[in-house]
Parts: sequence; structure tokens; C-alpha cells
Amino acid sequence: MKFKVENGPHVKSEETTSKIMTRFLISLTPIVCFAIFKNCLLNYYYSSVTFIEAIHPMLMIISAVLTSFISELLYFKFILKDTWENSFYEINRSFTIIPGLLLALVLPPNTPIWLVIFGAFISNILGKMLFGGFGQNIFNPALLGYLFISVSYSSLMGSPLNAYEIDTLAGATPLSNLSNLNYYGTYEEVVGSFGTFLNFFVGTIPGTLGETSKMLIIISFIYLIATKTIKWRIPVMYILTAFIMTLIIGHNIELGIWYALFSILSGGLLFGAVFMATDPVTSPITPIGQTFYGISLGILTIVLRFLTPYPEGVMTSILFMNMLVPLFDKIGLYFKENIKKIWILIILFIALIILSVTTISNNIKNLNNENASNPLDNKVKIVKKEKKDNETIYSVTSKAWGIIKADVKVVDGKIENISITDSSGETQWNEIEKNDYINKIIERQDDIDNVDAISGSTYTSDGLKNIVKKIIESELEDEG
Amino acid sequence: MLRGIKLDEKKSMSFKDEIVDFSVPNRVYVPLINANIECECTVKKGRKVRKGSIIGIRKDIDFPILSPVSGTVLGTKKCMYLNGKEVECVVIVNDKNEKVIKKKLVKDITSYTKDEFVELLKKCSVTGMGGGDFPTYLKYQKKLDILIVNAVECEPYITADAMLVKLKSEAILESINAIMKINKIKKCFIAYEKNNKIIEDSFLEYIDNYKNIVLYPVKDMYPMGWGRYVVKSVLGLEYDKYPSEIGVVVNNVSTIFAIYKVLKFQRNITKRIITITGEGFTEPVNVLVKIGTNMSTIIKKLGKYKEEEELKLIAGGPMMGVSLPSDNVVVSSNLGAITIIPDTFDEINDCMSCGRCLNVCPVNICPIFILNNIKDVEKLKKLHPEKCIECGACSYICPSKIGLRDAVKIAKKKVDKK
Amino acid sequence: MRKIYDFLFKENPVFVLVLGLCSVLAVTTTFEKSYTMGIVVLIILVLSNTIVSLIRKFVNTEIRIPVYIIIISTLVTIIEILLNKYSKPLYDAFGIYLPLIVVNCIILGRALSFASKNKVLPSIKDAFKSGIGYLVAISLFGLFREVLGSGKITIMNDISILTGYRFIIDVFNNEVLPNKLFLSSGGAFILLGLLIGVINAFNGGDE
Repeated sequence: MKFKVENGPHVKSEETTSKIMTRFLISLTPIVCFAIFKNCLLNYYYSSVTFIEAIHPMLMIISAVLTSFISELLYFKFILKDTWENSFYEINRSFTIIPGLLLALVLPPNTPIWLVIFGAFISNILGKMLFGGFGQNIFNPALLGYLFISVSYSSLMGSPLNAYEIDTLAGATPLSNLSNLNYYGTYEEVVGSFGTFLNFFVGTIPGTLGETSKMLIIISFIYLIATKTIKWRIPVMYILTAFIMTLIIGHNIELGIWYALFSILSGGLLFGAVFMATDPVTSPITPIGQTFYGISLGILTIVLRFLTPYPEGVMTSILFMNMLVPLFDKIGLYFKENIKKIWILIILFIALIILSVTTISNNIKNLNNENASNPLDNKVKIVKKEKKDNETIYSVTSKAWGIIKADVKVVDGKIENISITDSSGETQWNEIEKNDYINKIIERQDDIDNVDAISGSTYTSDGLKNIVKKIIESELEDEG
Repeated sequence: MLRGIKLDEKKSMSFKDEIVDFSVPNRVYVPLINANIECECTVKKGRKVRKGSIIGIRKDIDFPILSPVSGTVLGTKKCMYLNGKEVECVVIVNDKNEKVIKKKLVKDITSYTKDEFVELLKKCSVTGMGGGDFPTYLKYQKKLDILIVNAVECEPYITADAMLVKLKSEAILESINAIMKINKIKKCFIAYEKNNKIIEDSFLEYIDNYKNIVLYPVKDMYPMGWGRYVVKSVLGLEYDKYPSEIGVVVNNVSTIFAIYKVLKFQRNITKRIITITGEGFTEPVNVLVKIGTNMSTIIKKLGKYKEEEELKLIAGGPMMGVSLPSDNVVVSSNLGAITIIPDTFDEINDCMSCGRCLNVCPVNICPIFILNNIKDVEKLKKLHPEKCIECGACSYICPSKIGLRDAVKIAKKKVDKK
Repeated sequence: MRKIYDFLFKENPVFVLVLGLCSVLAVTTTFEKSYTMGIVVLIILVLSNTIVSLIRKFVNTEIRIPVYIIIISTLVTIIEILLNKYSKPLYDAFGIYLPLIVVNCIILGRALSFASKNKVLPSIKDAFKSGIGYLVAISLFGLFREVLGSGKITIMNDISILTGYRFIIDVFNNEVLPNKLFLSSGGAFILLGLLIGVINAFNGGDE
């Protein structure tokens, strides 16, 4: 009898790539269900939206998944010129719906469907297939798609609030609320306006589709670890670092432990740490690499949250760290050989944490000291003031995203014209132009506090509004 | 930390109360090879030989290969060895008289001196029967403090050693005692897998008579039978190249039994127990065979293959063993089992960077990085593929079913060449 | 026709050899800037190749790179001064990338690999070939980038002082496009990658 000759070992484990990915999908199902429950069912019951509006989040998820599937199928069929049969086989092996599903879960519930489709297309084609398909991509495909649409169409992304939440809440997510408070506030201000920590835990707070329910994320996380599906070191170190850092920050600015708890329970930190940072293809392989990758993610996220105008920071830091994965693997390999030298790395990271924590706490203190006196004095400065009869021309600089420089013409105590001399620091300037925002604020200068900022370029809008406020203040002083 | 994998235990399949005796073959084919070094034939066609006559010699260390039967030499023939290669074998027609060169029975087997002992081991051609085929006398040349008897069979199907222990535990203990007295070894540990109750019970029956022999259960995982792991888990020590550096000698339990025979009768071992098992075979069982027997004759007498599936025949266990194109393999002293299992059709995917292969590697190398840098010899050197013991744990665990062990083997060769 | 296609796309210094990317990525926010940059590079390339080819027998191999750099930077400085006088907006728009033409790989590369070894006429021909390739590439890229990024095609705006006309075509303006991503440098990289990919696909790839 003839026997088959093959290289060993001749028994293989039961574990396969598709089983791992199936478990990953299973762990996402409760989160999808909760997203639909919160954003469709609750929305339908508590507010007067139509049926179509209510099922919008569900349509987002479905369209993202379908787009992922179809775009990859067409890529295999028409770009790689496979047969239909082979294309179906290939997309089955490349776990095509995961990027689309994850993308839908990190989008706010009011995102237009066409934008979701566009993002899912970018995720799968630009983020995955052009790199060479499953296993070859450098960046997390879902995050690449998210970045693409959030940079291109930030104004269209829509509010993270559901119709019923707009009525009851201040109009912001917990993190942007914290950011607006200059990162300092009492428990009532920071947490209280959204309920209690139980709301944070269960998930009845505003946020993107998938990120709100921390409870379900933790359950999924336990399931994923128990079945050895993901690299546990990354999320554990990530969340731990973020927690410790905010704990120290909270201590420095004399707030309690709730501050740290708030930091990890709000926003997409948990979701990103469990489902995004652990994407096997785009995370380090070596255990030491994974550990320090997690720590770096934590540091980067907290720094981005507290020192830049972005209130979230999770997606950006994961995408940025994806780029450094080969470096972390090199570090992992090096310290695997020289395990005794690992204290160098530990000291380095502790120093990094201490440095960023002190910078952040000082920054928060400064911001809030500014607030104690006149907040406008620090933001808007009058450089020059020329008076001619009843006409005054001010040259002002205003702190927005960058620095806006403008000449303001005032006639009889009324602002007649604002001519911007420098707006090069503003990335979203064309939003302002598109909306004719400057004329709007001139028109409503008496009622300036109630002029809404343009979503997507809030900082620039506020900078402009502050100019108007300051000029009015200064005119009042002159009269009085 | 000991790394490894947990395998499904399939030992009960072949473990029966009795062993089947096939020790009277018509013809034997003795492979002229020792530790993968080819040996020279020293007998001519037509010569009469007895049990223990020298029929071949390994030139570099003057190590003899002895005849397992008495009879007439028919010449040499190329036959399949357990590594799948054709090896020159001496063909001897068995006259079934079991004539020996010199009949002798030593009453007190502890009465040898160390030099006599080493000389006898060499003369009687004792080699490691766990698979290494390494001449045993080389291990006993240095001063030794501790003897570790390796009764760990970490391959999932094999029960040959357990069977031997069950049948001959008293002789084995006696042999250990003698080795210890002769070599002035103070302490002996018998390492066995924690859940292997047969070995434990068989030894417990007699162990009270020997104070310095300790039963030591080790973790149930693969590759626990690897010498370094046994030493590390029993003594907590590590060594550079050979265990004799730290005064330790590690012997397989079948080798210990072979030494017993040598000390008692002053002649070579001619038989060994082999497990024939696997899902592809109808009658999994342990058999007692003469060294040099062609396995196909035994398998034919024993049972049938389940031919409805495509089968693989493996010399040894499924993890370390080599799959062979046919069952015409000759028995050598280091062949422990023949495993016949159905072929699994594994679909190979792209690597998803899960890192499982790093977590199971017993020598702490990174198989996937070696595969990724297979073309770059300079980078390969830093990844140390030469440490690999070819246990196959990485290939076993890989969810994408990538042949990592083969890649590391290639890398090993590349690094060795430079 | 085939010949023109080959020399424009199969031997293009930007798309095929991937040279001189610094200016291609940096100044191509409008079509106008792109093609003026292309013309400037073309002029400098022709002049530098002519001069290098003329003095090729007097220049020692060991010191040729500094000598060529001096020649090219002199030319660039002349152009810079001229632009500053006659088209200030364009001069401002080019910014640092105008002086950086000195180290543009295409110019130095042609000087080193061709002009320093050949007679004057073939050198000028070579300069035209590379320069027009660069001009086509940068204009094409600028066109795509401006259409996608601002929804306009600026044919004459900054140089209207010279020509006396302003000529800007509005292509579209809705919420999907223009997409300001393509005006940022990240979008420029993505777009250039896609463009090179498409051209390689038409050329039949490397193998």
C-alpha cells in the first residue's frame, strides 16, 4: 500500500484562522445588538422620529458590511481577475466583513449612509486589498477608513447624539464636555450631566455606535481572552496605563478617583483597546513588544486627549502606533535576548509617563487659572488701535486652532467689517468661508453668545466669536 | 518557564495488557548506521554469524554493530530506515537457534568497575533507544552525580516505554541500582508524565527497596521528553551542550533495560517493543520484535489498514516522526512506534501575526520571524535558528497551518553553511 | 503616437523613476502652480545641461558635483530673482521649493549621467525629454489634485500680471467633492501612489 508523504508534524491543532475570526465576530454581536437597541429602539420610543430615521443606525451597519463584502468581491473578480467561484472562496478566507463592521461601530449614529459606504470601500480597498490582502496590511483597515472620512467630511459626520438625547443632554459627548470644561470640573459637571457611572457602564450615554456599552465590551473581552482569540497584553496594558495616568492627573488637580474612572469609561478607549488595538495583523508579535505597545498606546491616548483639541484620541493613537509595530517587534526581539536590560525600557517608559502626566496637570492648572480672571484676555489681544472720528480700527490676534490675525473696523460702537489678515493656522478655514460665518457674526454681534459654532471647525468659530466679544468689551470700556 | 503544547492523549488506543511476540523473523536487515553516521560492513556473504557477532563498525569512534540473530549472512541490501532514506543493511537468514558467542550469566550485576562498565557498554553496542541513537558509553565517561531516567513519552500515540515499564519494572530498578553503584551516583530520578498512572504504579510496587531512587512526575505536555526539559523540571538546572557538564546523565528507560541485559548476560540487546497504532490501523497494539525485522511482514500478520481514507504512515510519533511512502521500514533500536493516521487536508492561510508560535517554542526562538527573513542570512543569524530542536510545536499550533518547522530547518542549514 | 506615449509615460522621471517628488508633492495644490513649476524646472534643466555639457572637458571627476551644484544654483537664483520681480504671488506660492530645485534629483541626475559625458546637442535633447516628462507629470498631478481638492482648475491667476488675463474654471462644488483631503500632503501621497499605480498598470508593471 502507498502512503502519503508529507513534512511533519502530522497532527495539527484544531485552531484555525477562520475559527479565530469567527469568535471575534461572535464577540462583536452583543455590541451590535446593543447599538441597535440603543440607537434604534430607544430612539423610536423616546423621540418623535420616523421609522426610517429610527432604523438609520441599523442601515449603517448593514450597508457597511455589504459594501465591504461587495467591494472585496469585485476587487478579486475584476482587478485580480479571478473566476467568480475563486473570488467567493478568497473573500471567505480574507474575513472581509470585519473592517466594515468595525468601521460602522466607530461612527456616530447620524452619519449619512453614503459616507458609511464610502468609508467601508476605502477600508477594504485602500486599507486592505491594495496592501496585498488579509495579513499584509500595515494599518487597521477600519481605522484607515474612519480617518479618511473623518478628515475629508468631518462636517458631515453628524452629531453623536440621538434625537432623544439632544433634548436632555448638553449637546456633547462626555469627553467633549470635559474638553469644553478645560478638563476640570466637579463630579456633577463631568459625570452628573450624563447620569451616574452606571449609565456609563451600561451604555446609555451619547457616543458612537459601538463604544458606549462598557459592560458588554468587558464581557466580550473576557470571552476573547478565555478563548485565546486576542493578544491580552495590549488591551490590559493600554487601559491600565490610561487609568494610572489619569489617576495621577486627577490627584494632581485635586480630583478624586472618579476622574480616572471617568476617563477609561468614557469615549472609545475600551472599544478601541479590545477590538482595534488587538487586531492580530497590525499589532506586535513578541510578548515584550505587545506589553510596551500597550503602554505606549495609553500614553499617546492620554496625551492626545488632554493636550490637543481632539477630545477622543483613541483611534488616532492606534493608527499612529500601527506604523511603529515593526519597531516594537524589534524591541521585543532585542530584549528577549537581553532580558536583563529590560529595566532600561521600564525606566524610559516611567519617565515618559511622569513627563506627560506633569505636563498635562500643569496645563490643566494653567487653563483653569486663566479662566479665573478674564478668559478673553488670554485668548484675544488687541495689537493696535487707531481712532479717527467715530471710526476705530483694531488689529487683533485671537487664539483659535492656530492664531487668527484680523483688522476690525468699528463705526459708532458697531463692528462694521472684519478683514482677516492671516488664517493660515486654521485647517478648517474653508468651512468658515463656505458658511459665510464672518458676516453671520457681524450681523448678530449683539447676540454673539447664541451664535452656534460650525461643527467641524469649532475652534476657529470660537476664535472668531472671541474677537467680536473682545471688541465689544473694549468699546464698552471706552464709552464708560 | 517551560513552554509547550497540550496534545490530545491517544495512548489508551494501543495500551493493551499483553504484547504480541513477533521476535522470530525469517530474515533480518540490520541497518549499518549509528546516530545518522554510516558504518562499514565487516562480514562477507555466506559467513555464519551468532548473536552478538560484529557485523559492522562505525569508523570514527570504533563503535561496533552487532548481529541480533544467529544465521547466515546473505549480503547487503538497501532498505528504508526510519528517517525515510535508503540505508545499507546487512541481510541475515535467521536459523532460529539463538546461538550466542559465549553463554554467561552474571549473578551480581553490581560487581563491575566503572572502566569495565564503560567498556562493556561499547562492546555490546548500547545506543540511546529514545530516538537519538547516541552511543551510551560516551555519556558515562565523565564523573557523574545524578542519573535521570527518562520515562516521559510525550508523543501522543506511543506506549512502548509504558509497556516495558509495566512488564519489567523490577529489572529496570535493579539496573538503575547497579548503574548507580558502579558509577558512584548518589541520586536517581525517574521522570514520567504526571497522568501516566501505569508507570507510577509499576514502579511503586518495587521502589521501596531502593532508597536513592525517586519517582518524579513532570508536567503533562509536549515536548516534555526532551532531555533539557527533563533536567530542567527535575533539577531546575540548565546546561550548555551535554548534561554531563553538570554531572547529570539522562537515559531513556528502554536504554536502562538494555543496560540490564548487558550487565546480566554480557551481550547485546536484540529485541525491542514497538507500538503499532493510529486511527488508520485496525489492531493497534504493542509488539516485541527483533532488531532488523521488516515491519511490513509484522503489520500484515497483525491487522489491516483502513483503506477508505488516504493514510499516512509515520515512523515514530506524529509530532517528530517522518512519514514514509511504504511500510517496508526496518526496525532499528531507536524506532519506538509506527503510527498510521488519516491525512488531514489543511488549508494554508496567510500569517495573521497571532504570535502563537513564539509562545509555544521550547527553545524560545521566533519561527515566524525566521520564516519572514528566510532570505537574509545576516538577520537569520540574530534569530538563532540553530537552537531549534525540530519538535514541531510551532507548526502544530499555527492557526494558518504554515509549515514553520520546515522553514526553520531550511534556515538552520543556511546558518550552518556560513 | 506610440513613441510619444512611450517617452511620456514609460520613461517618465516622476512616474517611472520616481525622481523629483519633493516639488511634485509640495507645490501642486493648483494646476497653475504645477505647470509653472514644470516650466521652471524645464528651463533650468535645459540650461544646466547645456552648460555642463559645454564645460565637461574642464571639470575634474572628483569635484564635479560641487561644480554642477554651483551652476544649477546660479541658474535657480536667476530664475528666483526674475520671478520675484515679475510674479510676486507665484514666488510666494513656491516658497522654499523654488530654491530647492537645486537639489532636484532630475536636474542633477541628468547632469551627472548624461550631460557630463555627451556633446551639447544631445544633452539639450535629453534635457527636453526629461523636462517635458516632468512637466507633463507635475501638470497632470496638479490637475487631478486641484479638481479633487478645490473643485476648480486655475489656469491663470498668479501669473495674470504677466499675461493680463485671469482664467479659472469651476468644475463642481457640492458636499462630496471637492474634498480637502487631497489638498493636504497626506492626500497628495495617496493620490500620487494611485496615479503611479494606474500608470504602472497601463505600462504592464515591472515584470
